[in-house]
Amino acid sequence: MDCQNFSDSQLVYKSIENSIYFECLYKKYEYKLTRFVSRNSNFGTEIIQDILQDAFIKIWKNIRDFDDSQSFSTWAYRIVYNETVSYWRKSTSFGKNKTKDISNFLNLSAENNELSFEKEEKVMRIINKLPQKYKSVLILKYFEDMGYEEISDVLQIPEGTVATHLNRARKMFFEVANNMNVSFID
Amino acid sequence: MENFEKIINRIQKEDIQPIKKWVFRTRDLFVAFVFFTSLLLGSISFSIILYAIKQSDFQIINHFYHSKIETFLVILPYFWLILLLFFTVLAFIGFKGFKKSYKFSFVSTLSLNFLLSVIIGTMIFISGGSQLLERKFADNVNMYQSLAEYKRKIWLNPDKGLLAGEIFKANEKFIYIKDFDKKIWKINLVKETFILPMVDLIKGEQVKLTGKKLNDSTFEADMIRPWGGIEKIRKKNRKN
Repeated sequence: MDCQNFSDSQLVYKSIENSIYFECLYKKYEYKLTRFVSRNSNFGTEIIQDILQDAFIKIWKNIRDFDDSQSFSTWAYRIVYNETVSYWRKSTSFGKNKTKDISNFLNLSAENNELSFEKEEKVMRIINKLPQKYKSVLILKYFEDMGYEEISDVLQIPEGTVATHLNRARKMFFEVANNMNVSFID
Repeated sequence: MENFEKIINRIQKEDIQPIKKWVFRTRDLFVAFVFFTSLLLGSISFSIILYAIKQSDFQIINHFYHSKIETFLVILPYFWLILLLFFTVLAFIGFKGFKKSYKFSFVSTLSLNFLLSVIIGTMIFISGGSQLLERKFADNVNMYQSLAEYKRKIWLNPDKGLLAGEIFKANEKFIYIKDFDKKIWKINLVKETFILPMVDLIKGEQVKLTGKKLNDSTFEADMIRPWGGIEKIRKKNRKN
């Protein structure tokens, strides 16, 4: 099946008629969303897969509620983000047994990330120390390359709040970097 | 097994179907209904608050030299203030149900709802709808004490220096009034008694008085004003 000939919106509407097209959507976003969940949490691969499964089941159930005035990508990110937060809340042993293997994560992100492994590892070590709300905006802005409006749609917060969180996140990022004696000068 | 296979297996095994479009439409309609109804009811509450303020005699606060704040708190239309608050919060909740509502901050959403209630409420008040609605409400809700009744109750307080009723006899030194409990009072008019120019001390005129009670049937008036307040003054001006 050739998924390339269809836009996301077309795939959404075709999915309702034939669930085979749903696979196109999944395949298209699997890598990006896996990486997004991974960066936003300390979950291991299995849990990340569970999160994606649950998120895509939600997408399937609510597919008729998709509003084509916004992109499928933003909608999917939002559902995946909410699912991640929900898992994070449910997880009582978060950060202990279920933490991801950093090398897995680096392998995942190696394909199309401009940052070197070493630099990305440093950045993620700092980002992981930030509160969730700041962590999410930084990841969406700098790793997912989203604009304020898209971030606002994914996190469901006003654009002004996105800007405020980003400012605070940047400041906090450098404070944490200083405290950890991490330098970004090559 | 690939992750997508697991998803498809789950969908088939649990027979998960996409939710029907009409369910989402109904949800959206319900949200809109909650928002617009709450907004309208909040606006009506605000319009009746304006009507209550117009009806209330905030001047009586000055009469209670030792408890102005207390008096002010007593005459506030709490019932409608609570309703306004309730419907503003409900409209806020309804608004939050709209798909793009997250674009607005908490403060701007709440302020917007309140501002809309103020604008629509003022329009209802100006068009005269608030008086009509308040009357209808008072007629149909047994537990509710209408603003008119409430006003009468406040002005039937001779011990606190407030009295109101209809004049049935008058001369230069005294007037006799029948209060709203049908009790007859002799009112002493002294040199200091201030009678507002629009008050006619004639039989049938409804007046309200501030002053002091001298005994069970005699009252000395400091000030005599028309019962209908501003409305009465306007009517008189129109006649003239």
